Amino acid sequence: MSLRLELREITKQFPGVLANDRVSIQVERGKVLGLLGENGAGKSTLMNILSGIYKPDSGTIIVDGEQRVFRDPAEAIEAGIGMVHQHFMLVPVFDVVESVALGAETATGPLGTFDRAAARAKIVELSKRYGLSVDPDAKIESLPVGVRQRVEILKALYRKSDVLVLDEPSAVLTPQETEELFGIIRGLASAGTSVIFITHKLHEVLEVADTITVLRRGKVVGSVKPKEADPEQLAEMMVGREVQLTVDRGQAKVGSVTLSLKGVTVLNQAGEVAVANVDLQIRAGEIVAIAGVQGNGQTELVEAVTGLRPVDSGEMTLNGESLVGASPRKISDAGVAHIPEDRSRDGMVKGMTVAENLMLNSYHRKPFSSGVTLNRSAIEAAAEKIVKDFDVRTPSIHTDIASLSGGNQQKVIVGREFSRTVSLVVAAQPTRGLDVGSIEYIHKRLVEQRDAGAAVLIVSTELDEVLALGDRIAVMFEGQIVGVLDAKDATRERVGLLMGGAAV
Amino acid sequence: MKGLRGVLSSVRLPALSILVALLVGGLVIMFSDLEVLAMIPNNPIGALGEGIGRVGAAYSALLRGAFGNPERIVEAIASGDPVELARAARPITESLLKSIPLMFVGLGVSVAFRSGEFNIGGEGQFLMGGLGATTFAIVLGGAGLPAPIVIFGTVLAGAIFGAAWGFIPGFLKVRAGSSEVITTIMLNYIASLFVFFLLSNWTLIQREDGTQPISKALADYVVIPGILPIPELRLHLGFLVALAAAVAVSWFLFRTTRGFELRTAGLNLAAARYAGMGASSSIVAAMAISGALAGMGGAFEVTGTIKQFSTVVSGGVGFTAIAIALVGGTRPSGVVATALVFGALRNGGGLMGLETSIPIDLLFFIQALVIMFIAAPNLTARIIRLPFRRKSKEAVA
Amino acid sequence: MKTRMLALLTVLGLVVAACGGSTAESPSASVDAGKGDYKACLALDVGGIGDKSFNDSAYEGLLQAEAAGYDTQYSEAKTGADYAANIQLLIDEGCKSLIVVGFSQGEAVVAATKANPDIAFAHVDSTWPDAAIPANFTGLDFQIDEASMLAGYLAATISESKKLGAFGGQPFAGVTRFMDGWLAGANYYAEETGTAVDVLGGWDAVGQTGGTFAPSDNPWGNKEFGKTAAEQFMSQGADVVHPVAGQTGEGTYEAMLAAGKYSVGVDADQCLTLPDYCGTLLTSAMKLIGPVTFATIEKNYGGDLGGENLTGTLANGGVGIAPLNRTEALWTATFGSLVTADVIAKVDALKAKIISGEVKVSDYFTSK
Repeated sequence: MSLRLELREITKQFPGVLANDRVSIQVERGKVLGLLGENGAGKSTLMNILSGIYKPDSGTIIVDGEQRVFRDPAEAIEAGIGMVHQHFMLVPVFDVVESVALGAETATGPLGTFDRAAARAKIVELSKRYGLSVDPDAKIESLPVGVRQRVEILKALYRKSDVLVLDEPSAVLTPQETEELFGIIRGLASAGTSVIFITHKLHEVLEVADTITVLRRGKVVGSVKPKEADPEQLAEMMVGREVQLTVDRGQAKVGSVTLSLKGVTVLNQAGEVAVANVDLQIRAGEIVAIAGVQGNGQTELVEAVTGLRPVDSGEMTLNGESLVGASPRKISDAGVAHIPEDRSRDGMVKGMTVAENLMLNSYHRKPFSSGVTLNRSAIEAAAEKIVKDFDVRTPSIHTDIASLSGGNQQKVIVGREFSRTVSLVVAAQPTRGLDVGSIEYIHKRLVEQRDAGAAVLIVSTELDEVLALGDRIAVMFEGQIVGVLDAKDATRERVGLLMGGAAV
Repeated sequence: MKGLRGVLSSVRLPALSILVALLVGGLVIMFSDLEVLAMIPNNPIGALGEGIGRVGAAYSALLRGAFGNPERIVEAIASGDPVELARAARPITESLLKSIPLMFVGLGVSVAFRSGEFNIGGEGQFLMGGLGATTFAIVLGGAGLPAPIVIFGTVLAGAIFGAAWGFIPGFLKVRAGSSEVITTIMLNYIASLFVFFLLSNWTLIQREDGTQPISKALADYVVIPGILPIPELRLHLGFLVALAAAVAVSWFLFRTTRGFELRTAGLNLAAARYAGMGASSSIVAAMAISGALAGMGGAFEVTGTIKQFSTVVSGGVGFTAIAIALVGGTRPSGVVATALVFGALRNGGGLMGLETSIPIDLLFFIQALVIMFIAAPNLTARIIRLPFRRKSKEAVA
Repeated sequence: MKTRMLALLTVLGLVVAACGGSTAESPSASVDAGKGDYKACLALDVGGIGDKSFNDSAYEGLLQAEAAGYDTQYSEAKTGADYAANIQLLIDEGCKSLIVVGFSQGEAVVAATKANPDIAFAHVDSTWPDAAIPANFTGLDFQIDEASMLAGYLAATISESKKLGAFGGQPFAGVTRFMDGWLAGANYYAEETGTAVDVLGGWDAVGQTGGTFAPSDNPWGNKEFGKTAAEQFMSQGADVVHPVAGQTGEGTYEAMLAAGKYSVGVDADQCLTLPDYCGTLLTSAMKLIGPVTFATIEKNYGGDLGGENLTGTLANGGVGIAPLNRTEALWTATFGSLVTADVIAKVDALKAKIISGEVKVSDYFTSK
């Protein structure tokens, strides 16, 4: 057993933030290191140091027992370190061979032309050896996300990487694809490749890692073997306190139909059908959670329900009133709360204060507006109350929302949307990128809304979230609802299969 | 609310930028002087001394030109002679006068900026405002209406003409998706050629002898009242209206629902849509208001300051105004303060040119440097070795 | 009327003296102790020093005044708002004679003239708007068509094809007056000799319409257009072209020089300001702004503060054409054999007739 790679006492300071504080990790040859931590724990900084993008303020990188300094990413690649980023870096119109060889072309021939045949042969050989089945001649844009990820892995292997860093690799995969990925990782490890697997999902590290190192607030909290660890203990290490992993909620008290969709079809930006002929009903007092891999029409469905995107055909009613053609303002005023998928883009205005952000959908109503002017004292009083009620941690209501953490920003949005009586809550990816504490809080608030008699529609790509919250679970695949399950029938496997498009 | 510390911290960057720009400008004065350059090979220290002397002379003239000569002011007050008083106070009143168009157009550009529009058309809107004011001054004044009505009509016409010139690019953006950056630049050309055409061909406004592209003497039709007790000082009502406009813009942006919508659209159009705001009408309204402010600036400049309309009345005010809006942080108070500083520099530049033959173009250079330093705060911080780091945003989380 | 004639004669005399003074007399001879205490000033228009046009010409006059011992100062405007401000600054500096350049300064000059009766104002390129000219104001206008008529006559004389061309920057009176005279000179030649002369470019001097002008987005600095226009005129047979369009004309000179054909310059003696083109520049129709500026300063110093609009004419030397007895090698190589003593004599004869009033430019707006 030999150490392939070691980071010793790495420290990296950003203005106001100690991103890595004397972090040490060790990776053995042919082993999988699970690097576990919440968003903002310093995982990405550490990997950027390892791949030569950042320079550490202090600390050393040791490769095969030799101290190294990476001045740029090329030197890290040369040392055998290959990165697979969360957001893939592929050119859609290239085919697999071109994508893999891009930047590492073996130039041959008198004119230095690209020797495609040689590159292709090597790629075919690599994919056979590691079980990464890919059609080498397929165009990237035609490949499913899971396969694109394999292309990224092939890219690293093609550059003779034997330390593979995977940054949140399961974020875009179905549970089945995730399982396949784990198979690939095990295969790579047994062939001698070391893998660093970065994630915030407990069960994944428990399943695939040989060693788990937990980071919290830039520091290593500890390293454990999966066999000796349990989820509660890991969660506590990650968050720094005891964590409740399930959502407490009683039986739903279901009322009448609040939102009803009949044959709803919605087009995307490019004019293609994104939501195809969807039927869905949500009743007062229940949570319907929509599961699905990202990009299967959920975004467009939410936009249509909230009035941001026109409905192409079909019926959509709220408490019996048609919503087709209604403006976002009208829908909001009719009692629909919307927690948008992209918090930064849609949900808040950076450069405005917390108070102003809290007024974003009610500034035009009494008592906040006289019709022409804003009533500052009413706005400030209401803002102070929401900040208190929703436990928004901010120096003041006059602080720029951009300076709050993601969790507190989301609390501002939730506070804004839930501080009035609503009959329908539409929450898209409500906990994306949040720390465990904030996730717990947001979940609790969503259940509260249900118990207060609102119909709640949750869209999430996190299967755990869907299973934890949904009274009923609908699965979207290629724009259609391919199945609706009651919570008691919804197992990880069944939902996973539906997410992949299989009939149940 | 922001206390004194807040004000100081928001003033620090612009103030430092102006300071550093003046320092660099001093170096340019020093090393563009042929006599100084000729001395360097034989007598470098003497050359340095001479160069510093030249810079001192230039900036002394700049300051006296902008704020007046303290000795003269004291003497004039002691003498009580109105002619002497006028002469002593003139530098500062002229500085204020020069800031009037900068304030109006700077405010206009800021309103557009706040709504996310980059209005490069201040120049054209200013000219159209001048045209509207000239036309209505001649029509209303010629009809012998009472002075207050003529003044009001003149300024209102300037605002309306400017607003129309701002409305067009806003409307085109909303309806046809055309970039306001392009359309406003193009409308500058159209405005200047249109004005030129009318001044050469329209006998209503063209000077009586009819040979040159210049208007009639507007003082015969409208007199924008002066606001100082000494009639020789030509600071006029436009200055007070500009200050009032700043207060009004501030109130509009920060105290009205419309202003709130406009700022939201400017900072985040997607969020404005999400919040159910009519983003399109915000854009059009902001551009029209922006044009109206620039047009009012043109009206006061033409009828109050120059008293004659020609194609050279604007002189790049639309572009200087962009700089002023940026330096002033698009806040009305910041715009007023910056316009006062730039107005003083421009005015002081006259005396500097007179006494030292350093062309006023140096000030345009300094102005450009200020913008550059504002746009690159870290560079400024490095040039001036002062603690300058902004409080990290993440740290507050 | 009598004082006016007297003033004209004075200026004429001074212009002649000034022109001669710079070369013949030693400067110290004309220095007068009182001049050192007399401040003569120039308020330049937008464009300022370096415009190679009227601002520069006026500045030459100020330099001449400086050489003559006057205390001098000048200001440059950047926008309309600077006009009144700069004039006031110069007044505060103690200027006694203040020459203002450019018609756009009209209102500023009028106001300052009224407010400062002790200071002599003069306005280059403009006249007092009405008949009641104040005693401290001199309007300085230029009857440039007289000079360009001479130039047109000369051009028609030496032209082989008897086809001339002309175009302008923009259709201002200040530009088209050159074209009026150019056309009149050609028509005069046709009447005198019975040989038809074609003036290309389409300017109708009677109706004051038509004409060829540079694109309005860049009328004065568009050398490319100057070249194109010259090539078009040449393709229609023209061999002498007169551009009235500032630096746009340099493109014309370049094209005419390359083709071995001729041009006539504007405003200043361009054989001196653009020596590279001396081989194509037959002559130039000149406003003698510099000498007039200097002469006005001298007049004001002598105690005559104004009260008149003065028009520079051939008679008083305020306008003219560049000399035809020049010695520059480039010029003599091209024109030595064309501009003979006989030709010069004919041009002088026309000049005498214009001065005497026997020939009026406007009588020759159409060919007879």
